[in-house]
Amino acid sequence: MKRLLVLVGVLVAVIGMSFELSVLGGMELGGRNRPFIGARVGTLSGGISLMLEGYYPLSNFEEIENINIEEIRFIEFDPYLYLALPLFTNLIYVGVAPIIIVDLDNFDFALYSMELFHVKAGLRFGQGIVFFIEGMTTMTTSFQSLGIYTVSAGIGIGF
Amino acid sequence: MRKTLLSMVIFIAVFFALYSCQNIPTAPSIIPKDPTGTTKPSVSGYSADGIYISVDKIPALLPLAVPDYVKIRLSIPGVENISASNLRVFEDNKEQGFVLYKESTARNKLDIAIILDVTGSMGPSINGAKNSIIAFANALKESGLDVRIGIIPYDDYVNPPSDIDIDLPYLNLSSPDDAKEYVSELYAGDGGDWWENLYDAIMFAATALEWRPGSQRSMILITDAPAHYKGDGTSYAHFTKAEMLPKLVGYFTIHGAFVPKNPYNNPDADLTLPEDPRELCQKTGGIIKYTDYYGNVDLTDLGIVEYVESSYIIAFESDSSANNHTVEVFYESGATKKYAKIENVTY
Repeated sequence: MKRLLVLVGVLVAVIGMSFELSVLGGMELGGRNRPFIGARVGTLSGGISLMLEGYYPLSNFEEIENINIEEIRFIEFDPYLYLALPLFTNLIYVGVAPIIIVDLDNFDFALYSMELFHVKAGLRFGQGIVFFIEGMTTMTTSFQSLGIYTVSAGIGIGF
Repeated sequence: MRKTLLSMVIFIAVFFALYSCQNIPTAPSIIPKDPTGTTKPSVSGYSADGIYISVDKIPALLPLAVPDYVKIRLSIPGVENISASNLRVFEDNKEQGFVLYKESTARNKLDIAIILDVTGSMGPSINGAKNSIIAFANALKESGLDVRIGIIPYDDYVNPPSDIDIDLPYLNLSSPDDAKEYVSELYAGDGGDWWENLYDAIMFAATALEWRPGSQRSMILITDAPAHYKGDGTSYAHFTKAEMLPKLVGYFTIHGAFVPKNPYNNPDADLTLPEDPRELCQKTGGIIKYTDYYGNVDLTDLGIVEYVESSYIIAFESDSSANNHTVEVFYESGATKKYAKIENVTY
């Protein structure tokens, strides 16, 4: 119950500040080379902002056509803290997030590691309807990359 | 400014709120690089007794952009403090950099299914087995572990067994007190021929019980009879060991307490025979113990609690291109040297 309240509280606070809701897809470069899909909601704009992002890695591209939502048990959930720089109607941003695993069956979640975190850089185009491209990697607390990267692109609405 | 502050406060709050939630197996540390220029020790001088290893396959999500790692469960009952310096790990003859952590730090719950033969041949030992299960439940309760016990009575049939009359055909994973109450009502019935349908009982436990996420999952098989199996001419046996092993290895540890009647009166028997369940114990990294001649079982002496308390996870990154792997673990502490090997395993 405490966890549910935390999540609801965070969502309400984030949504209350208004902003962007997007879906995305991407690919790992290295490691298991998995494609993935995701969604994000948050306050991404100039300065410091917060995005709550959920990812579901797939085993292969064919799985995209056969996703059964009811069979999804675990997802990755990353609360990103972003630093963004406006450039005309575009936005250049970098972000950092702890890696959280969510067990949807039992509504349970855990920090994947105290020593690893995700780092992301991206470029967002447009206002209203937005497009974005991003690159992400995992780093250690001693700021070494694990050498596996992802690239992703997405579309959303901003208001 | 207000938005910036609020974003940072939410980020920090989420981080710390989630830090306290640890029921999902997670990565304990960063896996070091593999040692180079090392050679594998000779196994002479190492004992294979009292050391158990198995692949851990309990599902968990691997986050994006994170290297995959293999988890090997290691248990040396009676040895509770193992450090990485006591171990060397080889995958397909290549030494591995690894991290070692106690399984209970990632999985703080223990779920145990007791697969109990309730046929006539167990008549002389059923009361001993029941008393032992009660004592075992008491010991687990007193150990402070977050434990659940399920009980699957079986003969040639399971859910329900055909030769005894009980209200509940099986007990789902429940408190130790519920397990004591349930087992007190069991008795030895008939059973027909010498073989019993313990493979169906094991698979029923694996699929029907409500195993908790983040739990260490064990089964304890108590029997004096070999197994019926699919293809042995019966209509009620639905599994062979070859069909069962991929569904069990890595997910459950199966321990066995066997009454030393045929075939269990020969510890050196060929465990790969289709009716011999001891291969399931061996391949899931479980303990094989024998009762006395009269079938008196002492589960507290089986070493399950010690097994759990001394259960570690060795995590390493696989860099072998083979589909099936051989993993070897060398343990050395003072004069004690132990060695375990699993072959032809998949991750």
